[in-house]
Amino acid sequence: MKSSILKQFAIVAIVCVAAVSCKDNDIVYDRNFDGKELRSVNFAAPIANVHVPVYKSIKKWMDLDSLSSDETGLIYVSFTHTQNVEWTNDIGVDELRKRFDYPLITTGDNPFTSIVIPGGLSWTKEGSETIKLTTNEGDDGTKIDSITFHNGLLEFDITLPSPLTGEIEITIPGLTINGVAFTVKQSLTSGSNNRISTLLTNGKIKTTSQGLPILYKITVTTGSTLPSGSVGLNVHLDIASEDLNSMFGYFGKIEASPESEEVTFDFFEALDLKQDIGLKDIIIKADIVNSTGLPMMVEVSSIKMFKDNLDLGEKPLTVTPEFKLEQVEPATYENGRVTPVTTHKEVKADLEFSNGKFPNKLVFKVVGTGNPNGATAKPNFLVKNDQLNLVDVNLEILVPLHFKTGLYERQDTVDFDFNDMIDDDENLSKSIENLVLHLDINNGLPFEIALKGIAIDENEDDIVTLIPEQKIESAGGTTGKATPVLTHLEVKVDQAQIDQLRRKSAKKIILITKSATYNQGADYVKIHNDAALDINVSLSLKANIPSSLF
Amino acid sequence: MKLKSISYLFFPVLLGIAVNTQAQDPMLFYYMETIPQSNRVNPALQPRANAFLMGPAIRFNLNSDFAVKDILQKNGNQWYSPIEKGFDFDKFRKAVGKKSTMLNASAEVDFWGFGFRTAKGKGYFTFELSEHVVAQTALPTDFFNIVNEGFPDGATYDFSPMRMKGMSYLQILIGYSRVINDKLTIGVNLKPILGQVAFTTDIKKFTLNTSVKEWNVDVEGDVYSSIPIEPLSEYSSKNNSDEDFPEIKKQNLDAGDYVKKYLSLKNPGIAIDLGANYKINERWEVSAALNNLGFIHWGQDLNGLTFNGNYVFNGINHDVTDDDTDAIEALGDSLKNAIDYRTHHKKFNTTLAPVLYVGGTYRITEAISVGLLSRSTFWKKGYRQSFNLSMNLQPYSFVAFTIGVNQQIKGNTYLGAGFCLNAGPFQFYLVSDYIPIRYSTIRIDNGNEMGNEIPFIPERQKEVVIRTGFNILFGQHGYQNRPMLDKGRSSWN
Repeated sequence: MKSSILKQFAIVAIVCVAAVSCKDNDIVYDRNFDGKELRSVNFAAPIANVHVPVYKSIKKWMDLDSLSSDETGLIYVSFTHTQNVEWTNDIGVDELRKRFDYPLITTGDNPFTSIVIPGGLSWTKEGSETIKLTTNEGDDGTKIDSITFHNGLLEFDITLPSPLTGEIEITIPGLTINGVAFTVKQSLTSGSNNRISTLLTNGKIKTTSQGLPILYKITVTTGSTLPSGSVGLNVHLDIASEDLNSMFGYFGKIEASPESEEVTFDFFEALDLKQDIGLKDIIIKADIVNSTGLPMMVEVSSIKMFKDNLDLGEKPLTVTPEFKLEQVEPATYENGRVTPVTTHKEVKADLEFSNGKFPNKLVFKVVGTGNPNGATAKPNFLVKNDQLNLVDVNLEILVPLHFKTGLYERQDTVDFDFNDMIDDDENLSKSIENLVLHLDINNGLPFEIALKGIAIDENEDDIVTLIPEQKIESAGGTTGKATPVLTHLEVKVDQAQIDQLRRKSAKKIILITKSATYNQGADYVKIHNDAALDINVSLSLKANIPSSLF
Repeated sequence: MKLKSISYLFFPVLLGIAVNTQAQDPMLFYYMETIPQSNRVNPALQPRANAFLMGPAIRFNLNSDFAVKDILQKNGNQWYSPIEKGFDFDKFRKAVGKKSTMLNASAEVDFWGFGFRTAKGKGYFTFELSEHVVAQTALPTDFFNIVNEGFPDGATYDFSPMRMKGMSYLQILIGYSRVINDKLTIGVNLKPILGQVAFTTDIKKFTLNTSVKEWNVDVEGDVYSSIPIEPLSEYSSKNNSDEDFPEIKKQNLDAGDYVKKYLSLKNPGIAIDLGANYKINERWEVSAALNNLGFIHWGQDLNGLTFNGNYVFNGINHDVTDDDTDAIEALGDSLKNAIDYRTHHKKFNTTLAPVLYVGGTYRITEAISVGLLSRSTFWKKGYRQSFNLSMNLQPYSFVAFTIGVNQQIKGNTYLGAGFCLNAGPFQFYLVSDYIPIRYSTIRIDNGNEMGNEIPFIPERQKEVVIRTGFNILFGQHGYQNRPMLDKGRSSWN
């Protein structure tokens, strides 16, 4: 019984297992994926958020350090220009040459009033002459009250008719040399060879209301013969401009008309503008720093715009009001110290250009008039100072980004070596079924923008239009700050286009941007310092798993 | 007689089904009453021998939710891998599961044990000492879904089922069963546990949401370990971002230190098995057991990591006026700071996976019985259900066989077999759940080049369990006057 059961059990088990068990079909798997259809998967992901802040971008790309904004945030581009008036050789004291004659009367009137024993008759003349010092600029009404100088020349030539001899004593109380009043005494011989020459150092001249008095005492003696003619006294005073330290007085009405000044800029060239443009509310500021004792009037005139050497005329620039500073106050002088005074003026201007003629140079003249209204209550002065120029004219031109422009087109080139990107892998390019680039553009600029992108080869021939012309809406609002507007764009690239990029070896993408200010350039717009263009880039694609991965 | 005949015919047919349909999961040990260790699977099943001494035994278990055939599919004359269009992903998903796919391995070494029936024959004590090593990995199904779908717009991937767990522990089994009456027997195994090393992850949240606008990663979880390394210093990625993560250094231990450590009660655990067996009549019996209700509390050599964070990527932020590197650096910094992770030394618990057995046997003859068994395994984030149909034969007192068919729900059908051989008091047994009986030769070619062949790969196999060991039996037939093959003593003729 036992063996029978066991036998039956065993036979049944063996038969069943043997009948259906053991070897399955071989598994032969070819892991060479070339030519195999791999699974198609989707991929969707954000790529980047590109922030283009207008203020920082202009500063960086246009290499402009002189960018600022006002309290409302409106961006300004500034250009500065400084013109300095230094002490020149035009400023100084006129060289003085004056002759005084003292006639000797010989008929019926013996001038010789004293008898000098032994032998000879003598004649003494004592008196004063006043010389008037004037400036070498200004009108005839100039008068110098005082000057200080470090070098000068004073000469006296005395002519005595024969046979006179004698001596002269000259005192000039208003002239001090090293603090000591000038006085000189010299014997004289007949003839014209009597010269008294004095080099003046560290001198100061202080005149009276009439001028500089020269006190003299001439004593001459003759023998038995009475001379005829006159005693001549020549005065020569020469103080060079560079030797002057200071000058006080009334210098008269002085007109200075320097050469034209120019300011160059490449702002418009950098933008490569071709269309009309209008710029509004340009601010021109002038700060006149007057370190002289002369009230002035300053006028900026003959303002012209140039494109290279082409005179665009005065018309493009309209300055309101005219650029004239009628009252430039003089500096003050106290305790030996000059305190400059600054006078400020602002004017506004508008610019309009057309036909692609954009200036790169502004030419103007700064004309100054000292004592425009004649004599003043306080004396004029000019004091030489190593730290100060006589006059500094600081001009600043602030160009706000408040403008309008018609169609502004530019082309930018972006490197895009497609075959390099895919490592020349044809399978990789074929694995992409389609690709969509999603662009969410938050436009904070009041520009209407149209964007187009074309892939080109190394010969710059078009391969395929990757981005058909698409419009980006302008930010709204032309008064005050622009309100950003969102535009959603999709750039779709299919397998046929991808294949073209590979076969024709795309090397670059040309981005053609056409923009105009709001309302197709009809309205003026303002760009504020917080304006920006924000582009959110994301990608969705469907592709076969590339075989090159394995 | 009729029933015998029917069963003789019926069972081979079933075997045929089993063989044809491939791969099942026998739980044959349950009904191998001649092997004393069967009371492990149901503490109420008293060993037949009056007493035994357990010698060294080994059990090895490997299971996976997918087989080689799930990864390489045949369609027509060609074989396809998951990255190819010809691969049926729906079929693959059915194999790997909706949420996660598991890969588990465990091994057990029984050092020593004994058992004996009480004097009056109603009770049975058992004592065993064994070492266990367990490793579990769960891969979220969404990992595989990425291969199928990619990262499309509006997708959500849940990677929180991802898990890694490993531990080793010494288990002491103290079992007692009692015959309550002539029908009912109940039993309990109390299993004090000495934990040795453990590593486990507890990921509460790990999701990835992809879309054209943003990718969002949300993570929260913990890693726990009880491993003999030097305690990690306090570190927080947010507070100590300028510092490197603390260096991991092994403890300097000799063999004696290891013994002391692993025999200490610093990682204590406890588990309990409960079972019951009910004889309906002479032929029919039903039984049930709930095993492995327990946990281990780890309190030694604790080092762990807590992490949480949410990272949203919506593109590299690039200001065109900044340097190109600024954007990349900023991205790197934001990634570094997105996830906050901090070291910790928290105590933790690991639970054992409870298993519920419910079964019944029908005794055809004194020597032959058939059994039907249900096994439900409860993992923390999963559940597995298997059924086993077995035929158990003891033609002679010194030999017993079992053969069966295992069917997994949403899985394969497997053949299992086992035997035990008694030579005097010495018993040797070998039982295998999931015998691989179908094999293929696998060759991976590379274009025109032929690859190496690997023969005898059980390409449909998802599970392997082998148990072998030996015992010394005393009174191997037991006190029970269970009719064996002796005709005269029973009405089983």
